[in-house]
Amino acid sequence: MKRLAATRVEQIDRIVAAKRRAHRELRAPLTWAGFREICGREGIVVTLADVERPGCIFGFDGSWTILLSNRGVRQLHYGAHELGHLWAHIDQEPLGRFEATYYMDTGWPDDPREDEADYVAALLLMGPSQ
Amino acid sequence: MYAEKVGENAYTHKYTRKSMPSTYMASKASQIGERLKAAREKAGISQAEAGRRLSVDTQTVSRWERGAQRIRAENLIALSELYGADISSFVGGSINGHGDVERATFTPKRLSEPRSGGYAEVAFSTPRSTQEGRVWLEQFLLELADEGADEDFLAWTRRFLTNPQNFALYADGNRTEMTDEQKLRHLQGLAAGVRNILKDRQRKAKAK
Repeated sequence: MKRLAATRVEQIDRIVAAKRRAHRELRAPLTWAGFREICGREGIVVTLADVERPGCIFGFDGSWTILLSNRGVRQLHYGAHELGHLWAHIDQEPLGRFEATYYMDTGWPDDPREDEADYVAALLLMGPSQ
Repeated sequence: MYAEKVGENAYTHKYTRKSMPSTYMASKASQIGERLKAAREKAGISQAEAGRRLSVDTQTVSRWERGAQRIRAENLIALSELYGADISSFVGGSINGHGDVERATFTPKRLSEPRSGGYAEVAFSTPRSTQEGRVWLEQFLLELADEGADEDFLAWTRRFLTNPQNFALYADGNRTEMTDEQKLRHLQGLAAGVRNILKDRQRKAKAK
């Protein structure tokens, strides 16, 4: 993971802190059941399917799904990663979750948004520091 | 097939305007049936012979040709091979029955343009795989229409599913392309997510 800009780390820390207040499941290290509860509360459908990529998120007109591979590889990590994209990127855009199509044109591996989503995942999986 | 370039890296997929998704679906099935019949007659094959080759009865072939029964993708592919016709001649083009495409631009209302443009179809490495993917996608869109998807949703679905970025794999610092088999499987997985989004929309609309 590349080093994130300090300002960006602060912004993401604030976003996650707000989410911890909104979702009691985030007051401890995130579990799979907690992830499903959070998604349900935020109106995000979790889809498990036989897909080649470990996870992705897409939505239309306010309805969103996090699609995860059902091959059982780090599902919780990738689910948290996709939540990171939703909270740190999609929700920060002008239209937010009312984007018609959301497919990040990631300049992978150099796109900082992937590292930012990984950072969110790490914060969720590790739980609060205090 | 449907795409028409309107700008740099941007495609607008155009659909015929119909008031009810079920009308679209019925018209499409009827159109496909007419084309199947025309291709069969051109090939000089009877309904009975076509049925025998596909291990279905003559009545089934008749229902396909009348649009009374939707034909499965694998049967469509088999018939295209039997009749010596390109499958795009069955599933592509207009639904007004006159050979002209009625076009209506998909114009986002309060929705933004997609970050990446859509394409007419998913690119596979072989013509057969491309055909299989094309038929599968058209069938899926018909099923969504049958399940109540409106035209905006169908247009978005096509643009999303044909986005080539869906089919890149990232590992060990490298970006590779999926194999045809992986692409089809991944496409079907993405479709499961699309279907869930549709159901979620319908649930929310009902709750209002």
